[in-house]
Amino acid sequence: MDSKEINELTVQIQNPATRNAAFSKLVKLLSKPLYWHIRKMVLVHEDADDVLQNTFMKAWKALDSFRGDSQINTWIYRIATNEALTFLAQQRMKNVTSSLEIEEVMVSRLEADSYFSGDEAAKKLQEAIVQLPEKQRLVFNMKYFSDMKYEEMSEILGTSVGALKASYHHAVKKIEAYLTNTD
Amino acid sequence: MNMDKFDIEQEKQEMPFSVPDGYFEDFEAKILAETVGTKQPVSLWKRVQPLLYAAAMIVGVMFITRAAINHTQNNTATNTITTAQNDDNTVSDSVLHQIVLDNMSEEQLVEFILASAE
Repeated sequence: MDSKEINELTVQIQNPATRNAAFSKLVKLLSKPLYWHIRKMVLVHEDADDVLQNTFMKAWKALDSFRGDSQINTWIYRIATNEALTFLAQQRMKNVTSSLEIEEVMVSRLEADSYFSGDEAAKKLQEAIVQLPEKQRLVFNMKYFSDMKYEEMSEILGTSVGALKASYHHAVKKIEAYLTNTD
Repeated sequence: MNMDKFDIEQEKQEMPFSVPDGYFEDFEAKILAETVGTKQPVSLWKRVQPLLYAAAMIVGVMFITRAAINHTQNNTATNTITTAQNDDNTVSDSVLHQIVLDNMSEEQLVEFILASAE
């Protein structure tokens, strides 16, 4: 999405007369990037599908309260991020009585997912990423896989650019250490 | 154990995730059906609102116009009465008679008197 299009949609979504058309366009433009943003966090296709649906339904219902304080795509990305983190929190709650760590559960679910097409190296990398704290995981995924600009990340996550850079740097070091030590 | 340091930037990988065939097309259709495709009571109100505003404006203009006309007419009558007042603040009969005639025809005046007498 170029910035001109984002600006236009941000205005159009606030006008009841153009809201439906603008929302339809946003669904078409953002479904894929939001899906991958979510999938990188929740790992399994079915879960990503659920979270993505929740994201758009929440956005649709909250449109009346959107005042254009941010760009519309940033606003929806924030909803998607919160929905993904909520999902992971629910997973942790479900796992409380298990003897396995949540990270182990997530990796085993990943292995069982028929829509995981990675080789052993890819699986190991996902395993390493899962060890990171969730916020750091988000930063790593957004930077490493999506190559998102820090400024854009800052608007979505509400964290300063400096803190994000530091977080990414730490994440990379931890992952490299994990992969070096577990080979 | 592998002693080579793993360099993540050198080993940059594509994500190892896939989706079912046609997933995004189906997803978009489903979401649109459940959102923009539904009738919402809120949007009905939003459609009626501009019509109400237009109607209120027309009525408002009518009232203002009528009030302005009445105000002009009342001012004429009031000024006449004020200047005609005696010291004891009663209006002389002849002046009152003139005011009544200005605003009513003789037929209307007769009708009014007969109606008051009933």
